[in-house]
Amino acid sequence: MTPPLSELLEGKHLIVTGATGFVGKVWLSMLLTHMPQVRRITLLTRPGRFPHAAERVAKAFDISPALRPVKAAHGRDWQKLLQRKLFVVDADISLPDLGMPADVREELVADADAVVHFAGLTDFQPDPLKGLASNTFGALHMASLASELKTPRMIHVSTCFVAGRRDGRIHEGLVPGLSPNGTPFDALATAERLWEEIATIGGAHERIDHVQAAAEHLGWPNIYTFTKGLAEHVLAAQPVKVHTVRPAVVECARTFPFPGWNEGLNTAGPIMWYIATGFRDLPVVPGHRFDVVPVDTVVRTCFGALAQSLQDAPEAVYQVATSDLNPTTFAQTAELTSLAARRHAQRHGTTLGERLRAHTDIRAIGADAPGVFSPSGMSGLMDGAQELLGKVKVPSLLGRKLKGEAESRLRRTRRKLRNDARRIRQLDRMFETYTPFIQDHDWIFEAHHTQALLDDVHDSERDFLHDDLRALDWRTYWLDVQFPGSHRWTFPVMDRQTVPTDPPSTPALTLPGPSTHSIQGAA
Amino acid sequence: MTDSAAFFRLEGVLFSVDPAAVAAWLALRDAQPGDRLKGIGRVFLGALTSSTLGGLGADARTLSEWSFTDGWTTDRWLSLCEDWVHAHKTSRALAAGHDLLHRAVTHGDRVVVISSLPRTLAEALLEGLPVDELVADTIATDDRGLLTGELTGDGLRGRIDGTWLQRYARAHHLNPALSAGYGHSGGDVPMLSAVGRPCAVSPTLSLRRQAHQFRWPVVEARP
Repeated sequence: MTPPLSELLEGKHLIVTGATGFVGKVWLSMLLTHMPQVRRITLLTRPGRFPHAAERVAKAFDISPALRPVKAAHGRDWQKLLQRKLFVVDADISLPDLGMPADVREELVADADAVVHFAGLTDFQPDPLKGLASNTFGALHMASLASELKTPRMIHVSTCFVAGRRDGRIHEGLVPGLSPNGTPFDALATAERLWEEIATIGGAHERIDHVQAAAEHLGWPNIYTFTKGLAEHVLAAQPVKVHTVRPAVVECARTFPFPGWNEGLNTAGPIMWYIATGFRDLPVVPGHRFDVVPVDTVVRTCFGALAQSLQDAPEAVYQVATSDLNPTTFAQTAELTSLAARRHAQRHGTTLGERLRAHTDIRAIGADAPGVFSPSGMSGLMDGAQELLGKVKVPSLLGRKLKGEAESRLRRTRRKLRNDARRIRQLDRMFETYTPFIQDHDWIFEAHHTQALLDDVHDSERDFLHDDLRALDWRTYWLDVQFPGSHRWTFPVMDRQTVPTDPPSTPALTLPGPSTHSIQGAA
Repeated sequence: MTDSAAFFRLEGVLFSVDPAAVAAWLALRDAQPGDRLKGIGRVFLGALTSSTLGGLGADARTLSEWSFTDGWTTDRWLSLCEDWVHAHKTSRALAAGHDLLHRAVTHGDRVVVISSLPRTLAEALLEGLPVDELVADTIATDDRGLLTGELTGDGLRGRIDGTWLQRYARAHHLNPALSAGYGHSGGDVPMLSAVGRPCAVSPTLSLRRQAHQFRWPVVEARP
């Protein structure tokens, strides 16, 4: 059995990227809550709109619900704990030198024990300038940093969907230099060639088309999976021992930081939002597996991979996925979402529309039968309605006052219809980008390495590190966790409303960075 | 045979529920409007058969009133059962029946509840009550995990008679003469006749007549 992870982490210094993202934040929260024995965590982050990354991270952590367990476990001392353990460095992983001063880098690699790389761009069709920079070259630059450590170690968070356009069973492994469709290729040379080519292309759409063609040629369905896939192949050639964690669709937490926690937009959230709105035809293949995993299961796997890495275990790939050990399908999740929406409306529904919609179930209509109540069907209807409304003229028989009122109402209706039509077109495009995942392929991601890792935790840490993909009860998870969690944390993003946050603390959290503290910090 | 039991009818004694109304509530929540109409038709047919054919119809009614679940997923069935129980459990509870149940526990009786509702619903309603055994049927599932709409199990579709009670008493070393029975409708008469301490709870007209004839005590229970 693996020794307690807290023992392995005692006195260790970790370099972490992507700590302000969905998975990274939950991982950090669990680390600080349950394993504060770690000596130091250096967060490499871009400052964004803040003068320094430390301010950005402090602001994000201060109000993030993901940090609630840290606050609960350490009480008033939670800020001191963060200030003692965290060290935030302004960095940009897309740059070869990570954009950090040489002396900071030197000090960092001399002291640190492992790199944990969460950062990445999860948009499915980003501008390849950003996608390649972040997902492929970012991973390469982090591996370069890791290779300078006393013991070169790296945990790399990838995605199951690097499997590309293949159906059936996907092994937890990688054949370096062989693309998903079996084409031998040199990943680094491909990335560098594409980088040079797109540098000369003026528009983002043209760059996307160019890289998309290269992705399809090698068997990847979109730029996200392509750039992440390239990263795995590139890392395989680096002088660093990499443990790769590949989550499938990461969704609401089952238990940590609390049931239902979610952040940002993942694949299931927008689909559930769609079901909870007026659309009734869902363009998915009902029998295909929908591989969803709770974020805390992903985080536990990352800890397991870290434990393996710190014990110098051989390199391995861990697929955090349910499609093999405990599959659910689009048909099941569509029905569960309808049932959950019905329950929500019955217990909390406020508007007539909510109550009415709750009495109509969604239909999973398949790939070849675009229904009238699907985004593409509705988009056509909206275009027709707009055209019709454009021809309507208020008769001059009405008096001046009545005519004025009628025209004003007509203008408002046209405007509303225009806005709704725009949103539906956006939704239509969103489903188009989801097509590889909801229609084209039926992947079965093996997860035996992951389950073995989740089973092999020390008894003293079972409460928070053990997990069982096979024991996930989809009905309970979907009705009690996934739908309520998405409703609270994801739907506001789709509705362009404010996502709830925790109140800022007084005094506000501040975090140390290179300008104020030494990297090694206090023991 | 020295131990005693208390046999409770769930419907009308512990909770004010009519299985046909529950079935209709659930049938109305089928996935598509067409299925809802068909489901309601099946429930209505079951209720009609029961009221016109009496005892013979009770079997047919119980059979058909849940047959609308044919082809349902267990997800839909369990989720909607939870929703029904969440919406109705508190308002349908009969305090007087619950009081009788607690008294039976104090008396040292083995508490047996008999229900015409499918087990999932009956179990959810009884959760938190000190019940030793529930006699109810389950809706069968096929090898794909879908419901077939047919009731299975030893629940006798909610109807028990003196023979069943005698057999049950022998199997559990109970003395029927020392046992109590709490019924609500005419269908409970065989059960009440087989125990030494019968009681009619908010009885229907037919049971009220029988209770009066046999001088069984009558308790009124209101939700």
